[in-house]
Amino acid sequence: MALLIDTDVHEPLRTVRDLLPYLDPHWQVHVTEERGDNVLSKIQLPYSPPGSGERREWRATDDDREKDLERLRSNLLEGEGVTAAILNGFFHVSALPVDYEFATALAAAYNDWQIHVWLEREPRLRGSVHVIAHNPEVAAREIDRVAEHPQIVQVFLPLVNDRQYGDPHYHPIFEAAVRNDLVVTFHHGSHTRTVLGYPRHFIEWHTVAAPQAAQNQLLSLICNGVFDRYPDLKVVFLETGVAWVPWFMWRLDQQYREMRREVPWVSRLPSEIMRDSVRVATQPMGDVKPQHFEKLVEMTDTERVYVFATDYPHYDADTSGAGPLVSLAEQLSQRIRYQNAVESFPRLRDLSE
Amino acid sequence: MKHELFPIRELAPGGMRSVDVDGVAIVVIRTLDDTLHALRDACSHQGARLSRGRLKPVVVGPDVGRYRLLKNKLVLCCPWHEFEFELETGRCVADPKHHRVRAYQVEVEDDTVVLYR
Repeated sequence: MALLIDTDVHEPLRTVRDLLPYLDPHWQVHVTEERGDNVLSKIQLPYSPPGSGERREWRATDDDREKDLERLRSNLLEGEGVTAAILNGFFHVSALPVDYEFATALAAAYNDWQIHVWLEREPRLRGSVHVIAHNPEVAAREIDRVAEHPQIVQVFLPLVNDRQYGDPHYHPIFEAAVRNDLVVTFHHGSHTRTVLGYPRHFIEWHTVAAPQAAQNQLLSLICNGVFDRYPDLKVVFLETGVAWVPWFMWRLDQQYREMRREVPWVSRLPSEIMRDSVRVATQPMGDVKPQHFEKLVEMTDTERVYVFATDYPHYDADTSGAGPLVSLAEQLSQRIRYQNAVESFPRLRDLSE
Repeated sequence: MKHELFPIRELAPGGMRSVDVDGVAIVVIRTLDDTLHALRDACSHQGARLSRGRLKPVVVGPDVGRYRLLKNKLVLCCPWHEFEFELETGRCVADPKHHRVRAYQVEVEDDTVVLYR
């Protein structure tokens, strides 16, 4: 069977109360007695996305959470032909502006829930370590703890607007990722603002929120020397599309030629750093024509940069058997379908044709 | 080929002078430690006259937030977009693979600046 690695899959957590078995007694009481189960309402999206955000034919038709895994197997693993799927959740508690202790407990509980409910029941799934970035030392300890599970392949960080991940404050997170052979993945969420905050309509937010935030954080990582300090680090940006990459590379290279003196710890062209250390998931490919995407890759020498993603189960998921990716030249198609992921995620290296 | 340019006394230490050698503009640089360098006087980016730029010490950064000036190692900065070129090699510090200007051998012989190209 041809390999197809999906780098962006969202497993549903139906309620924070599902984490109760994984929380210590203090936080169990906080959830059940102090309305702690409302925590997600504090980072809720203020829009109504199409189809409530999910593809209709993939949506759960009952309340039986036991069937969630079965549905993912049938829709994604069998339906889309995905041979390995990386779970990213919807649970971005690292974006909480307050209550860091509670958020830390929730992240740890979520990690254990993800392992118990998903990874240990399905060997084709791979998982994330969710951490509270606010306290990088605590986050690093959580990464060390959760990374012991062999199906964990990455650290998950939300694309937020109120921190700059290139700040040396966050070094312990990247250090822990590297020492555990994990990549660091960034994904936007309901908390992600555009430069205008929340624009008036969902279409405005959905067009630019993720790529804007991704570019800001990638700039921060590059210009603050994170890749120079951790040359083995790989980062992945999910759900930001592909067409911003050429402009970003060209613009930042030009700025670096002009202003290298301001960031002398950056030792080479940003585009070279990106080719080595940054991966970008293809979803949403949008309506780009295959020949235009091939030209884009050729112009920027980014054949090794893009990795496949569906964004299951969202309404705008990319389908493996439709859209521009289907018509790509074979060599580029294979790179995107699995080779780039296998070469970039240290813990996916055992997957090969 | 050897080209006699001008008497060395006409270029003070720390100064630059643009010369025309068979129709090619070349900037001759005399550093404060009395070393001579010669580079093509046209930026590899958009052709600006490098002789109208400035000599600056190289900045290195051993770690994020730490700046160190190498006072004995100068670069010539383009007056337009501040591209930095190494005096010895003509390579652009930020992008040596794609940007460099030609460097020439330059000497003082009998108090005259002499360039070989």
